[in-house]
This record gives sequence, C-alpha cells and structure tokens, in this order.
Amino acid sequence: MSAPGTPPSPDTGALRLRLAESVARACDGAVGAAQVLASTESLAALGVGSLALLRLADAVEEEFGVLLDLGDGALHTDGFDGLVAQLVRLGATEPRWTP
Amino acid sequence: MDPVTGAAARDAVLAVPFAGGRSGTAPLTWGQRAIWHAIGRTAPNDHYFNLGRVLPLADRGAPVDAARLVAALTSLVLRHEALRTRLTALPDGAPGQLLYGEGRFDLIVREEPDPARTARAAEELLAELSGRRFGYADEWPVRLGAVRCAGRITHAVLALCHLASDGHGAEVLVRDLRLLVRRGSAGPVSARTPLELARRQAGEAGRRAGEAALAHWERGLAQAPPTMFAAPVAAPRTPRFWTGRLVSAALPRAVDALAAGHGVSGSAVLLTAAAALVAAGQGHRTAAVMPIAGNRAAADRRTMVSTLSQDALVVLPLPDDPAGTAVFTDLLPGAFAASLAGYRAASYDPAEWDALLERLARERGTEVHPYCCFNDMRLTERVAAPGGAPDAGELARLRERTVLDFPATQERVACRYCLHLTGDDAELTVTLTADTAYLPPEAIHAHLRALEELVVASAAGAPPRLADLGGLLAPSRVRA
Repeated sequence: MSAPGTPPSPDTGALRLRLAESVARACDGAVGAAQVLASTESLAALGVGSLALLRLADAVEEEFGVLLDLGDGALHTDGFDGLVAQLVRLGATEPRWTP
Repeated sequence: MDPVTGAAARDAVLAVPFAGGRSGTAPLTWGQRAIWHAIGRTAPNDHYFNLGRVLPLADRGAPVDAARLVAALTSLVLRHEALRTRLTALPDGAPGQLLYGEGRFDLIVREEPDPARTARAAEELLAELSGRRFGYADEWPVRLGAVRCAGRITHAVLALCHLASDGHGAEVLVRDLRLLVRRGSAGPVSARTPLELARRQAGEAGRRAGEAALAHWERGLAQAPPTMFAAPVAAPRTPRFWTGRLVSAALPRAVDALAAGHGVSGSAVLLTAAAALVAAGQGHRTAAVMPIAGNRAAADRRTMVSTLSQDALVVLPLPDDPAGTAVFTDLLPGAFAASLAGYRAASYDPAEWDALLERLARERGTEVHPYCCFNDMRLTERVAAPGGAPDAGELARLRERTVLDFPATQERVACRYCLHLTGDDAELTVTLTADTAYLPPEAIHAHLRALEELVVASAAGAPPRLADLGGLLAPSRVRA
C-alpha cells in the first residue's frame, strides 16, 4: 500500500493485467484481456454489458477484497483506466505490494 | 396423496413418481422469503404470482406419447430440487423449505379431439392450473398438465408456484423438459441448489453481502422522497388496480438506438424514462424506482431453478436545471451507473429489509417505500437488433401500429405503480398496473403514451426537455 497522501503509483502494470483478465472472464471471453488493456473507450462501448459488469464487481470483491462502486460514473466515462483508478483509490494493490 | 384438483371430467390423471433424490430441510433463501412476504401481502389473490409455461411438442420430431412425457417429467423433478420442495415450519416456527427425496406428482392429460384446437386447449388448461393459489405446504409447487390428440401429446403445461421459481428458472425448466422429452437427457445440472444457497446466505459470507446491500438501500432511500405516490387523487375504482397495456413496434427500435448511442443498456433507457416521468408527474426532484433484479449474473446461478429475483433500488436525482435546458438523454449515463449499483445490491435478507424500512419510517416520521416498481421480464442481456438507428419517419410509421388498452384489473396489489416489460426485437409490450386512487385509468394510459413518446422522440434526435416531461403526461395530449 502506498503511503497516505501520495498519488497512486503510475506503475500499476500488474494490477492492470489482473484486472483486464477479470474483465475478460466476466465477459465470458467475448472481449479479450489484450483488447481491454489497449482500450480507451468506455467499457460499454468496448462491449462489456451490464451483466458482465455485475460479474466483474463480484470478481473484484473476491480477488482484491474491495467493493467496486458500480454507481461511480467514472467507470462508464473513463473506461478501463477509470476502473483501474477506482481500484487504486479503494486500496487494491498488486501482489508485490501486499505486506 | 393430494387430491387431484384442476382435473375436468374429460381428463386422464397419470402418476409421475420419483424416488432416489436428496432430501433435507433448510431456512428459506432470501429470494424465497421475499416472494413469501409478497404472497402474504397479496393473499387471497396470490395466484397473481403463479407462473405458467406451455411447451409445444407436436411441431417436429418423433411423436410423444404419455409414457415418454411421464419419464421426462420424472427426470425433471429429480433434476431440479426446487420442484420437490415445499414450505414447512422450522422448529423455531420460522418458515423453511423441505426437500422430498421421493413422492408422486399427478399429470393431468386433457384429450382434445380437434387437431386445430390443441394449442388453445393447452392455454385453457394452463389458465385453469395457474388460476388458483398453491397450497404452499400441502402441494407440490408445480402443477403438471398435457394435451393429447389421437394418442399423441401435443403440449406439456407447467403451472409454477413463484416460491419454487422465477421467470428465468421457468425458462430453464422448459428448455430442460424439451431436451428430456426429445433426447432423454439435458446435460449438466446447475451446481447450486436452493438448499445450499439458503445455508450459505444464513452464514457469515451471506451476512456480509446482505449488510453491504442494505447499506446501499439506506443511502438511496435517504436521498429520495418517502414515497413516489404520496397522495390519493381520486376515489379508487372497483376493482382498485387497473392494468394498462401499450404494444409498440417503435419502442424496441428506439430503445436499441438510444442504448447504443449512449453506451447504456436498453433496460436502463426504459427504467430512466419511467423514473423521470413518475418524478415529473408527482412533482419530485428525485425518483426512486424498485426494479426486480434477477440476481443471476453469477455463472453458478444462470441455470438454477429457484426464485432468486428480489427488489433492487435505483435512485435518480434530476439535475439542477434552472435554465430548463437539460434534456432526457442527459440522464442516461448517470442512470445506467445508478441502476448497476442498484442491481448489485439486490440480494439481502427481506426480514432485515423490513426492519430497515421500519427504522427509517420511525426516523422520518412517515412510511418510507417508493411504491414504484419496474420489471423487465425480457430474459437475456439484449444486444441491439441489426438495422442501425431508425430515422424519425420510420419511427413515426411504426408508431401508427401502437395499441393501447386495459387488459386486466386486480383487487389487491401491494404497490402503486408496477411497470412490466415483455416482448422481443419486433414489439415491446409495456404494462402498467397501478392503484387507481393514485393513478386513475386515464393517467395510466398517459404514462404509457408518454413513455413511448419520450423514448421515440429521443431516438429520433429530438429528446424532450426535462422541464417539459409533466406536459407529456397531460390528459389533453393523450386524447389528441
């Protein structure tokens, strides 16, 4: 976990990768992890439907131990980067940061 | 054994025995408890909640005789524990579920000599079987029927108790029964059963998930008016609850176009339109709507036969709009996010939900309940139909075919505004069952008309201003 007050580390590579894989699984593979990683559009525009987002929220809770706020509009406007940012804000960390 | 209710003189009654299944007792699942409470509030008219399905069997494939159907039904009830589970009283007096490992169903076989009338006979049998309330503790939660013509079964009929299944589960049953009749097997069965789900929900993981869901409810209800329909506006009609129905070929095209254009789901488009119109009609700045959530996003629940659906809460604040320039489509992205958050928080213990609403009522000094529900009964996550965005002329032509009527009335429904969506890519049926003391029949039709107008105008590139939504509900407009 980064110290309080410091901005989220730009080095969120491992988190991004794990999260992109979670998104792909939630979509039953209809959207690939590589496609998610490369995306800049909203998750909906990428083809992540509402049921997939609900499955994603379950998966994130299980894998990262944080409750994803689907009501946060950033998830829809900022796409995958917004999702990563939300997880970082919620304190989800990459495995190597875990004490 | 149980008396064979529902059998007419010309019917044969065949035994559907089953044995070798698992048995057990558990508390009710949250979904079962939710529908049990709703049944209690609606009794003695609780047949309102019964579900029915007809499976045609004469369309293709080898002829089906009664023995084949009986064998398939035996497999079906062994496969899905929900069908052989009845209500019971637990030692502490609380309602629970009792799973039977063996027993016997009755199959009512109706003879129909006229081959051209078999489909109609099946619908009539379904209406008879589902038109009476279930004996929840004394009767199996599914009544089995069939229509036979010249020795061949043409239709199977399932009348289901809502304690056993919701609409999604009913579709699973029909699919499985078709496969069992045709092939004798139906593939892997859902790993999750109502008994295990009940035990999980009663444990620590269930408690945590339920608390998170109810925290969402408490935050949402705090932002909303205590109820969406606060004051009666007319003497109630007899019967009190009227169902208005709009059948529109323009709506599915318009909904798909808006959903694709704004990166939201079609269901969210319709929920937002309904919520905005209710708020406008009742003079609220915030809409609170309770969609019925399927709670089937998780992979292990998709093919589970049980009642998983529960009420969700979507709270939609209308934007500050002093200049009156905001339009309907401005609401869509925020409403989609709010609806996802609501659907995520739709699995909880209904007893704790009751306690929450009672506490909020004490704190606010008035009953807290939106009394405004939304049920999108279309079954799958929908993708936009091919054909691209329709233009205004095409939508106007489709709207010429729109039909508006009042197909039904009820004595008692525990809500004031219940919007139901059924249909397909070609036609959307929207029914609004409302308390005529709060929404008289002309207002019911006005809401349905305005819903179509709002969505179609938005898809045609002219989204109505939020400040004008009240005007869309004006009775003079409906007559015009």
